[in-house]
Amino acid sequence: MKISELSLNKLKKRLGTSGIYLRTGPFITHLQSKIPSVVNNFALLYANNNLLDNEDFADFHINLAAPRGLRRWYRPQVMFHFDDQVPFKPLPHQQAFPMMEWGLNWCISNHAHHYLILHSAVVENNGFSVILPAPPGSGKSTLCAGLISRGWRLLSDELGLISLEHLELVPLARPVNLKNEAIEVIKKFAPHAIFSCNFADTNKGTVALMQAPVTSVVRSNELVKPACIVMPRYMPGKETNLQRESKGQMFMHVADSAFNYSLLGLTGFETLVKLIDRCDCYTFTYSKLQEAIETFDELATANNTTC
Amino acid sequence: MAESVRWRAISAFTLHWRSWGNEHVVYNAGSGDTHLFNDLAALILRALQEKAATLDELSQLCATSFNQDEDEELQAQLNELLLELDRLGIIERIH
Repeated sequence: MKISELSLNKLKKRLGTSGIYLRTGPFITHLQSKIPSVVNNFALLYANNNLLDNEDFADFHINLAAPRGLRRWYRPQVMFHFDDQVPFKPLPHQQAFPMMEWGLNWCISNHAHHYLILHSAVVENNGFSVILPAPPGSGKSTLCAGLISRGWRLLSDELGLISLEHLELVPLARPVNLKNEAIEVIKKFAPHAIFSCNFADTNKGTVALMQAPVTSVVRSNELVKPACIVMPRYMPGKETNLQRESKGQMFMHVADSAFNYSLLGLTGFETLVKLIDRCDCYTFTYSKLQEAIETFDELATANNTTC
Repeated sequence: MAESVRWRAISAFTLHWRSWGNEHVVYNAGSGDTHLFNDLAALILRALQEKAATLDELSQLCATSFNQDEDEELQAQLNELLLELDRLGIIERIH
């Protein structure tokens, strides 16, 4: 059953009581919250995700709740509970939904060590996959949102999951996190996409989330072999430029961008060696989103022609 | 640096290599650090993995391998490299 098949009232009731069991990629999350903005944005952005029957097991138990006491009324806040622990300081109440998203990213990147986890977007077109590792502010999510609004499949916006055993990219199609100017850019570029409201004054500036394409959510079980790594950088006024990057340099970039490379030790090194061995590596600068998409389309076409 | 100083790499079992052309990535399982080396550093490190050597011996090896004059400049460059590899904990001095 999809989330969208549940009425908003029923969803609100379940989230506020026993909670729901949500599958995103390989993970099951048990989510509870009585906060209206969490319920409403969740209903909107996770509409195409599968709602599981009450499970015996969840990877993560999450609850977004207001703190007790006066804080409930005076400058209200929200707290992120994970397995009955509170790993973060509270945030302003209005930031409850982004806090859920960031908290879920934290749960995965700190616990799912049966994957090599890269801080990267991952997209795919006709079997041709591209990993986009980049630090915050590089235009990674903007590029990712642009690509998925032009037919590319979203595997992940934030956490690139690579299975250690088979070296495959594991989909985790969740909402795309857009920041500041990128929000309006993507709203114009993809007018039919579904967005959350804007959340102002977060520690990342203003953020908004874009719903993952329904086809990407439906194809969440389809793993794909890595083919290409592109390190993007948005540079205002610069020409679109895709350049080969050496494998050694890319190895170091990707190792830096990984959440658990060091923690995995030799396994992390060996997995990353295999990844770099099989991927073409590039750096990419862009300022015009349409041109950027066309460059990626050409890359995919060239790859599919040679295969 | 005293001429008698000899250098050797830490245990060969600790270092894991992958080379692409003139780039060499080395993972040190002892420290958990990963390093990216050029051909010169890789040549020196591999030589010191095989057996301990002095600066003069390494200088000779480099001059032969890269078809270079074995002069003061090369020695100075190598000296700096050895100190850097030592600082990274990949080689050590023995007397």
